[in-house]
Amino acid sequence: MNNFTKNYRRFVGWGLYFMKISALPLFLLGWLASVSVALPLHSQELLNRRVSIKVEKTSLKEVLEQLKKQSDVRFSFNSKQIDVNTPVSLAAVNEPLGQALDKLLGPLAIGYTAYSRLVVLRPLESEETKGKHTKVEDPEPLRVVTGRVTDEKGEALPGVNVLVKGTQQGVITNVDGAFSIDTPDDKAVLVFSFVGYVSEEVTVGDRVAIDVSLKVDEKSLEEVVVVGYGSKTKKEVTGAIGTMQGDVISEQAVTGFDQAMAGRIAGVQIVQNSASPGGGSSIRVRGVGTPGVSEPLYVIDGVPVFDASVSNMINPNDIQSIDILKDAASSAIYGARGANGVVIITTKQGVKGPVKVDMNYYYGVQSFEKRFDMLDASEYKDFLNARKEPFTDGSQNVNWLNEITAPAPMQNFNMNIKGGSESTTYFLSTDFLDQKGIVKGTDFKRFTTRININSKINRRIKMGTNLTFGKSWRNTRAENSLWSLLGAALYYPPIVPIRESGGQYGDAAEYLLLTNSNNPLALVEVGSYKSNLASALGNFFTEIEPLKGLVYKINLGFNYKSNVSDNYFPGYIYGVKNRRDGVPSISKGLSNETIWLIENTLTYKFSVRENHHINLLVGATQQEANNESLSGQRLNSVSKDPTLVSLNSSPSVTHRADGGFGSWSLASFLGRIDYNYKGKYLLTATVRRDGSSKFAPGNQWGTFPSVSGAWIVSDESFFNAGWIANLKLRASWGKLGNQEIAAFQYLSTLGSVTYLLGDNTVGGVFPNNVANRMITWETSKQTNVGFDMDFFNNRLTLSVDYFDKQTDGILLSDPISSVYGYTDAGGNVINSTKNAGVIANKGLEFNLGYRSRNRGVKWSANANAATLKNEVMSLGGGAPLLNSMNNGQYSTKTDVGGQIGAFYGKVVEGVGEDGHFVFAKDADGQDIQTNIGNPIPRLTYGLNGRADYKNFDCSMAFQGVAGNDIYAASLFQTGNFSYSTNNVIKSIYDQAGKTAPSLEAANGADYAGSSWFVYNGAYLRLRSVQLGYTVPLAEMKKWGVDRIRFYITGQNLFTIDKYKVGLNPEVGAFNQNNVSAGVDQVTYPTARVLTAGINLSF
Amino acid sequence: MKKILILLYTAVICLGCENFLDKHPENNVVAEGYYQTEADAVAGLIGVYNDLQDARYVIHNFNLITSIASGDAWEPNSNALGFTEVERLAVTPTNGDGKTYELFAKVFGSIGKTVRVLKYIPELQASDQIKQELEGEGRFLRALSYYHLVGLFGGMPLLREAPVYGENNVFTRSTAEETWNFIVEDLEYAGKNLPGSRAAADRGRATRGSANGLLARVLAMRAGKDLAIWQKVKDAAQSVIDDGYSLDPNYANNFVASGDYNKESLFEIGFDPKSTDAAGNMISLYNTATFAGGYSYGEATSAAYRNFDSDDFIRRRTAVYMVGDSINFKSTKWTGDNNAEFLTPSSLGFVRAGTAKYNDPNQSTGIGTDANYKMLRFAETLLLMAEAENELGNTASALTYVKKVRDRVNLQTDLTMTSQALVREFIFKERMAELCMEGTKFYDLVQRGRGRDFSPTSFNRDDFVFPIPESEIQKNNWTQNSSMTQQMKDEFMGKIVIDIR
Repeated sequence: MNNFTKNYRRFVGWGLYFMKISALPLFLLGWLASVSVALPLHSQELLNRRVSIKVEKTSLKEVLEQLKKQSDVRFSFNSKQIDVNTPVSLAAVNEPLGQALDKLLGPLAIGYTAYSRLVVLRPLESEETKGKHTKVEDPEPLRVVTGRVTDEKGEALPGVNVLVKGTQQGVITNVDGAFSIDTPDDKAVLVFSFVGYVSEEVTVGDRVAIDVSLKVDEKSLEEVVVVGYGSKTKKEVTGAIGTMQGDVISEQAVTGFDQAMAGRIAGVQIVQNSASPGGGSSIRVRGVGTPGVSEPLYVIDGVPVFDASVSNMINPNDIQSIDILKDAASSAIYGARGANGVVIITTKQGVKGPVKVDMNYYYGVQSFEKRFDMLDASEYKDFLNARKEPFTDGSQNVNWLNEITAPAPMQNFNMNIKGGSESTTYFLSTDFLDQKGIVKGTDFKRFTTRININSKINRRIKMGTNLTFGKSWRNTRAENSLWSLLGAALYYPPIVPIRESGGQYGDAAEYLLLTNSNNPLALVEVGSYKSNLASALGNFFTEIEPLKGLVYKINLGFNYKSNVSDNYFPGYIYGVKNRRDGVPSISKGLSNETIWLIENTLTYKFSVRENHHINLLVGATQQEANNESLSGQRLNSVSKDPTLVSLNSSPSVTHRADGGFGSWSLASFLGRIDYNYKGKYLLTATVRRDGSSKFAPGNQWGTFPSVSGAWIVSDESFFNAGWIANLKLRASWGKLGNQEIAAFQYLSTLGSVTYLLGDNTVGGVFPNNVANRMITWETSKQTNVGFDMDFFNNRLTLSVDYFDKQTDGILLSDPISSVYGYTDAGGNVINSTKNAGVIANKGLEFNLGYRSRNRGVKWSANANAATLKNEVMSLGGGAPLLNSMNNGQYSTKTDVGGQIGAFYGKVVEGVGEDGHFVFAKDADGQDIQTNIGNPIPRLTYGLNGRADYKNFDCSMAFQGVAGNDIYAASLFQTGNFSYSTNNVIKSIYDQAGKTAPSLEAANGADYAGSSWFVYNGAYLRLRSVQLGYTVPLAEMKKWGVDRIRFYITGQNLFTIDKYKVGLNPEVGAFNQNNVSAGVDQVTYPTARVLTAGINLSF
Repeated sequence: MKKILILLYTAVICLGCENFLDKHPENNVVAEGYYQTEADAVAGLIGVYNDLQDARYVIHNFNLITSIASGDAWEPNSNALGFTEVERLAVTPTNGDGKTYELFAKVFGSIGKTVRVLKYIPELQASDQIKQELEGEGRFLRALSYYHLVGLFGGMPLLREAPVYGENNVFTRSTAEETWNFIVEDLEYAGKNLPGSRAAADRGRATRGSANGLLARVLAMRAGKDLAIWQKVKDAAQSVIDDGYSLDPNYANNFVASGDYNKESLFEIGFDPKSTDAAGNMISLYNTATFAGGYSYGEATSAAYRNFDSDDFIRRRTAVYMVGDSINFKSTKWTGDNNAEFLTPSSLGFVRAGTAKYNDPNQSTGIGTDANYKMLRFAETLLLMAEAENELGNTASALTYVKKVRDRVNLQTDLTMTSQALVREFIFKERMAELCMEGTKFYDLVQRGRGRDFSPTSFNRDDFVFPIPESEIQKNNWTQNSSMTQQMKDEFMGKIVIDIR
């Protein structure tokens, strides 16, 4: 009971916590309001100052001078509006200044406004404004300059930064391009700046209205692209790098940056491994080069992390930009870890200026997309009758999928504060995500916080840090198994009651003969499967510039992860007979990993004469990782209280404990030279030398060179196609490594066994691996050629790349003779691995962008597409890799001439008269077994658009793949009538005897893995659409904020595909296993999400 | 620039680049440097003993393959194709579901484990005597492994040293004769160097008796008419006798847990499914029909009855039982659970039977019994001694040894026989009965030039071997055994052809 209370409190605590952060915006609003009311109090005191003056026919200017001397106030006015030479008369003896001014200015129809030590004069224009001048509590500004910012065509430019030069005072233009800013005096200079436009500086003088037209920055190509160990302008880039800005993430309301990348960058495929909350994605940059690990390397603010779980550690709202190094020349600076591409994540930094606060909150509802029908109870009974299956009618009509799914809420609160002085800038953020899953019993919560600080210690030294801390909590249920929850929810008989009258879960075994009988609702309700992840990731750096252009940087990075899993399973109780199933167990797992990094780099940027620009980089880095794990389990007997998750709560005597430790290190030297002649001819060469602890001494070091070049043809004098603003040709070549293989394969390690001597069990050892001293990284070589073109004043941009990537020495198991004498403790042959085999990936990538600035609607669109040809060129003479799944019912075969993990099986030619499949046969009359489908898409593409009209904005993102197949393994349960009493998909049932085996005949011969299970995997999905409304300027002022925007977002609203027998056409590579990719073993369905949110900026 | 580079490199070297990449696996010990003491070497040999315990090595594969090949058992479970092929000696290089490959690979795995311990024994911090004992133990285990290969596959590559992957090893097959000699060489060394007995905590590890017992068996199989070898058989058997072994008064006790490490046991494999080791002796599961709770891999056949004289009731009932028999002399009678198939003889007069040796009363648990599996029994030594004495012309002496064995199971022995040939037949028949269903019969028949019906064969015994698994032929570029012709098979099978399908 105590424990129950404790957990209840914890639960309530979270609720309160969440209420607190929801109340935060209100609190901040109140604070700001009180600040603005407090300001004008001093002006009353000013006007009460006593003055004595007596003048006749003196110029106004002279009178004001005298008043200024007496009362220590300054007067401000526009000399074009007020003629200071007007002769005036005034007599006042020890009168308040206000009274004297009324006497003096009233007859001249001049009004005034007093501020602390300043009185602003202006002509009165109407009766309405008369007399208002004495309303000292009116919080009008010092001197208000208003105006409008437009582009060259006169279209309004919203979002332009307007800053009083030399101060921290600034505003942003609204959707009409209008702004309103306080200025101190005539000498003030306003700076107008906007990305993509040339900044403009305007001296205020005596003006109160200033309209500015900004010119497009012809060098808007100066967009900065982050490359390894530095950055370049887009124009300087010689390789193939895909860039995505952070705003693209925020306009999609996604929970991880990986999801936002889908369909954004040509040649980068994001495959969701699980759509469950907190489930991860696989990122494949330019195909799959190995049957082993093919995830890219992530570099977060300069810290390389090889860990696909980073998407759960980083708040997507903190991301400034994501740059993906696709070609070998770009990635080669990351040497032995660059072969699968590099994803560089740069987080937001503070900016000089006053404190700015951005807040974002959204609430959404996720729902289940129904994609196909199962048989209802009456159809199902017909089916059983046709199969001659006896059953007892439970008189139910249960849709099990509906029972285990439910619309699920999600909400996210995010806030960041940024600002800074001349010397120090900061960016602080916090984010909380709370997502329930559409399958009951699944959810995900994440809390992250970030501190980014940059400091200029002096002219020569800069220091800074980027730190993020995160904690997430996840509840999962089984998925990706034909018998699991989702599979069961499809095939479970609709005639079985959800629960019996006694409260037990309905048991199909009591109604009919069913081999795999687990009540799906029990599967989501019984037990718990929790995990939580705490992480800290960051770096500290110091930059010293001893000479101009020469920068030494030391970067210290770290990544700490701690994972805790708690599983509790009391066993199932089914049916009126109280059948028990499953071994009750309780288990806990702890693991943690620490990675640290020391990196010294030196860059030197200089020019020789006028035209030779050189940028040199040399560096040395060391990285080391340690990880350890500990887990325990007790079996057979667990507590009945589901809140008890400690091992000690189980009275069982059957237990086990496991633990492990791992460590690796990487030492590297790197160098790069960028040479640029006249800004037209660009050449970059890099080299990295990596030493990895994973390999045998003497075999640890590898060198990874690259070279790339570009020619900006449009800068040549002979080039005079005016409509082409930019034409750049690029070519690159490089060599990379993939070191993500099991360590210590070069050593003869010993595993442990036991044996019985006398009455005692004794321990022993045996050689548990085939040592291969020669083992080394997989090496990939890649050539890239491409061009970039900008047309019509940069409105239309086109990039095209062709790549040819070849991975050599892929690690394959080498079927050595068993005479070598390596078997495991069970006597099974241990495979040795060797570097053999070649895999090629080739493809074309296109990226087409358009930016319109015409009329009232401002819009932009981007289309990208990539083709891919994946082919196994060689297996080093070894046998094809056959991955046999589900007791050999279906398999993939990786063989020379085909794709990695190609589907393998029989070819169905039709359904014979006997109701069975007719398989294609060879000359001997045997069923042909062959390649029956390809999991890797030949085409991936995305279409994205954004439009702004007045206060409205809208964005959309489509993503699709084509030229791939799905192996619908789920149909073994739900489609081929193999399990006689399983419920089946209605469309297949309707086709029985035509395109599916006949109900009466279907038997073992029809269940073999075959082309019947292969579906076209092409799909086009509307990933997100967002509609936003920004409250107009005047309204915003009323609210006391700079910007208020409301938005609604829809995700996955529709999908066009031909795979209407699966829950989700986006079938991933489970467990990152490239030889089981595209096999649908019942994936977690992708939710449709509708969210509404608000952005606030102060 | 140069200075800066030097500075940079210095900075990194200061961080200790030399040792920085020096990592070692923490989850496994590394063989290099592991073997320091006697206990380390024993731990390595435990890995080999553990292999013997693996069901698919000795008791499932070797025992069943040889029992089936000898005609004493058959494979009614049509799913286990590998054994079905063995029945008709129709094993192919790509044998069904790979039973011969499985055995081949497992045995070489065991040899690999052994030689990878033997390699380190000279460097141990131990006395020469201990090193010799350990080497003897390793060499006994290696000999046992080769023994499991040579009679089934012929000449093998002889691993005197541990092969290292990546060093372009070429494994050349030796002849059968050389392989048998290699076994003898190892066993002779082991017989000279192993201790005569083991302390209670080490019971189960090989002893001098284990080595000499196996040596006597192997030499007797190969001796033919060579009296010098028969003398060696006698010497080896005598050594075992001198070591103080004796028969268990109760024959059946050898096959239940109460007989573990009894005075008759020269070498046995430890089993106890309820121990932490959690390995059960599953042989009777494999030998028993599915309808009786077993797996039907190698059920005894009616042909197995031919091993017994009609009065050899105790041994027959222990080894092979049929409907109406009670198992292990328990009161419950074996009824076959009224299974029609069980009761129906085929056209060849075939009936299904069961094996009571190592019978598991809790068959349904599927974990096997806690009875250790006896690989070498003193009863066999006595029979080998009898065989040697008979071949050496001491027929009367020979009969005294046979008598010891027969007395135990209440059988009379006619000590008046003088014909060496008759006594040879008598001893052979005795061997067949005593060791029925213990995995020795196939070798006993082939090596002694007899067929399933015991009648003499005319072919070269070294040619009567199964094909080497195809993948090994390809990987090693070996020439396939091409010798077991249909004519040889027919001659060997005689009238005992097992086929009721």
